[in-house]
Amino acid sequence: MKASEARWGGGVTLLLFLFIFLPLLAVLINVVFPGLFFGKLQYSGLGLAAELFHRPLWRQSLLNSVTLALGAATLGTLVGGILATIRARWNFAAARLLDLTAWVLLIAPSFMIAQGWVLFASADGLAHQWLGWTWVTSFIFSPAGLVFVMALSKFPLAYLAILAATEWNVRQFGHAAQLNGASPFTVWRTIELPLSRPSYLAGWTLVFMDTIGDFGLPAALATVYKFPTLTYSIYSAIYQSPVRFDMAGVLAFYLVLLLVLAMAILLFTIRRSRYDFLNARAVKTVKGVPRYTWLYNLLIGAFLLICLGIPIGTSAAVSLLKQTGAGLRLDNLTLTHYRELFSGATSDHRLLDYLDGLVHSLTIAATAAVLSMLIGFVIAYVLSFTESRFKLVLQLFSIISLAVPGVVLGIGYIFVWNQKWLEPIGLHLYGTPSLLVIAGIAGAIPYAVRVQLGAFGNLSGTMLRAAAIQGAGIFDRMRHIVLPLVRQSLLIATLASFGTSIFDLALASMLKPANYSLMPLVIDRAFEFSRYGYATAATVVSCGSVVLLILLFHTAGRLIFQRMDRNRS
Amino acid sequence: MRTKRMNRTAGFTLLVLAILLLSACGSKAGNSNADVSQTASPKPASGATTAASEDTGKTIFLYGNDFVEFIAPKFAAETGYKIEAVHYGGGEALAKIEAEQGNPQWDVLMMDGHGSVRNLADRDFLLTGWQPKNLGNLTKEGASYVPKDMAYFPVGIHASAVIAYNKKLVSADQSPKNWEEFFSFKGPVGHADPAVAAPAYPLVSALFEKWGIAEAEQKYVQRFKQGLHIYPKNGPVGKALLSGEIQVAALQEHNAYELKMSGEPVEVIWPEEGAPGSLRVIAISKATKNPAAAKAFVEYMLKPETQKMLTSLDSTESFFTPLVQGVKMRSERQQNGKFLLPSAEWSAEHEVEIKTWFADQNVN
Repeated sequence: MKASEARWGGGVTLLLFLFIFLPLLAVLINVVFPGLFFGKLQYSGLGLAAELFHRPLWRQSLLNSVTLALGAATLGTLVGGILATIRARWNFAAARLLDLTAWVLLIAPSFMIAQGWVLFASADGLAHQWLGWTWVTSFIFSPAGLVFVMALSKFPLAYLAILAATEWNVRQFGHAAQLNGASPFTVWRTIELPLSRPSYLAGWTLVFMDTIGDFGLPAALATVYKFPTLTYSIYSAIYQSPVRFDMAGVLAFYLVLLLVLAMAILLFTIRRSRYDFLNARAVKTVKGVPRYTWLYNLLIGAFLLICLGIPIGTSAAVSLLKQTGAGLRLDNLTLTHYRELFSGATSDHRLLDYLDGLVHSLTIAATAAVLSMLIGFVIAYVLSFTESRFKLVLQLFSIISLAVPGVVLGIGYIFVWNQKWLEPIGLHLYGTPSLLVIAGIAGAIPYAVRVQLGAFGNLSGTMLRAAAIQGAGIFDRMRHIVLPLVRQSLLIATLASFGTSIFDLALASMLKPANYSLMPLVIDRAFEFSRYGYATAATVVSCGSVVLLILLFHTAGRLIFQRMDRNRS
Repeated sequence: MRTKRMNRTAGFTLLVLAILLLSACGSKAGNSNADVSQTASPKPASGATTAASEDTGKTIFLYGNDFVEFIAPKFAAETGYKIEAVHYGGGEALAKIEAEQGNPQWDVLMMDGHGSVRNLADRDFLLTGWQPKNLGNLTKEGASYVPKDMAYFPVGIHASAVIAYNKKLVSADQSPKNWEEFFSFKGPVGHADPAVAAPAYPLVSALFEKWGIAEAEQKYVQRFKQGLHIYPKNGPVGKALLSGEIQVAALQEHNAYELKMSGEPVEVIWPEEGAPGSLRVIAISKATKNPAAAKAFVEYMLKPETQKMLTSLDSTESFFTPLVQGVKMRSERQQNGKFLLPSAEWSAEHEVEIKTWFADQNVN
């Protein structure tokens, strides 16, 4: 029994090593030994790491990234915290809409959101043309504006983290303190604040990590307004001549360092905050109806209109216009851009073929989602129910790709998988779609593992031990005991990885095979060629079809599970 | 001991299984790609088979930024060689070539910017010493750009930047006529980023060579103070010119004429002392497994018929000065426009220095 468990543990560890850790390692090794992956051994020393502080561009990129991430994390946590507090207490119509918005923002790729903002706020954007607001341009394309947009698209991370923690009613502690003569402020300061601190800090770190590693939003917004960030400088170090892979590695090193720091803060606060206040007396907070319901609806509604309505609404509006500059008139409305998407009439640039891109992206994301769910299942099983020696390493590997931005993983993949000796053994995956699938798995693993660990946490190990004593092998135990109990969360994990991996722009642009079009690239290119109608129509159709597919599979899964249960009983 | 070994074998089995699964779906998609290229080249012509004897007969890959998607099927149809064209931005193509240096995937490169290609040649990436039969077709000007080591061959030259201005905001007599006036223009001006856009380094390097590095740096510092907007690529530069964010632009020739011809309020000026030139060259990878096919492509590009076909295209890509004798350029262009073109050696030598300096100036 031990041996077979160790085998499964070793297997998934090796897989994660190859898919996630090795590419990252390759990028970092390349800083010290450039050319190692091209078959030349030369040592260049560590001097390059210090060069970061001599070159104004790189120094500024580091500074900008940190400023942006600190600002967005603070503002995003503030917004998320207020919303979560309101949501946990009161019940009103706009509240459900708020939850939906949070999920849509979580899945929607940041470059699409950024493009919506650019079309809205740029000098010839909708705010200027339709509303005559010139101040929008100067506000959005400034450091404060970038922080604002970033916070509005990343606040759901903080919102969901804090909401999960405020669901439980622990007012009995406050009542006890008040009985002992504490003033309301003392109660807040000594009881409520310490109890909610971990969730706020968790929210803050999540937004910080997601902002600093993000590529799409700063790439789209910050290049219009010159505000280089680490991820964009990594990207431009790779896409310029002469190519600086070594420098990209150094910048990546600093990025990873910042992320490790943020993660350390998170782990530290979680460890420090073991109050164990959820006991048998804990009840879920009962939500009341606020006195001025209309006011809540109005305020939350207005907020949602800004954070989701502006980016998505602008895209939807532009996709329906014949000429972006001609304003909202009946004779300027058209469905041509949508028709163009499906007619395949884009002969001037083959990479703009939307249908091809859609099919490729859907296939790759679906394959990656199913495989990452399977691998995540084994990892979660090993972590929850075995004594494998690899547990610590597995934990580490399964979270790294959350912290390493796609651009960095992308270079690493080229280094690792474009090796001559891989060709004769049939493993030369560079230039084939399978590398995109592997990259998709690497991106989805952290989510797949976390979701499944949560589900496995509720299972008792006694059933598994009993089965093992009866002679059931590890595979049988997984299949007949664990799988039926956690299938619902498996489905959710699969759909979540599908939603997140389908829009990955950075990895897609670096690893795609020659002349292989992918949905996010089609949108990005159309935008670059100033074909805004086409780009926004593609955005609308892509987001719509992904959301629809997720809902469809979710419902289908539920129905199938119900039928299976009925058959069994 | 036993567990350890089993452990390893089990891990390995799982890994191999996963990778085989992935490579299976990869090769399937790879095949469908091959099908596409085969339909593009139905049957090999008779002449090709003998020349191809030294080749593997597999599809060759052409990396490049202009024409490539158009020219590859034509070449395949006329010669019977299998070719797949990959459209990249200039920077992207170079990055790919660099990342693939352990195991190059490309056979032919056709792109703007002879400095960057010279750089590749100096680092031994390119096939040298082979002289195409059609090299004699080049004009005198064209022949003067051929390097001694035959590492690459010029096929055309166009303006990496002309002066374009928004007619609504600037009157004809106020508009800059040369680069001195462009740099001293009162209103905001702009151009593309030499670190990202392929034609922008030829622009910046031509000005740096014209004025000398120290004076050019001084002029740029001054211009940044007076308002110089840098955009990642030429598309956004044109957009900023239309929106009024900038009033005058140093804009790539194709983009400038495209705006003018589509009826936008843009006028194009060919500067008196010359427009920075962007030399389009073609080079063969040293590691190509199909040299016959790659060489045939170079010969094809040097044929007058091919160049005539390209200058008569119904797209602004056809705006270039052909370097093969007997081919006429588009009539809408300045017919005797001069070019500022630094030598390949000079632009290769100063590439890092100029780009680094420029990137560091352009930080808020």
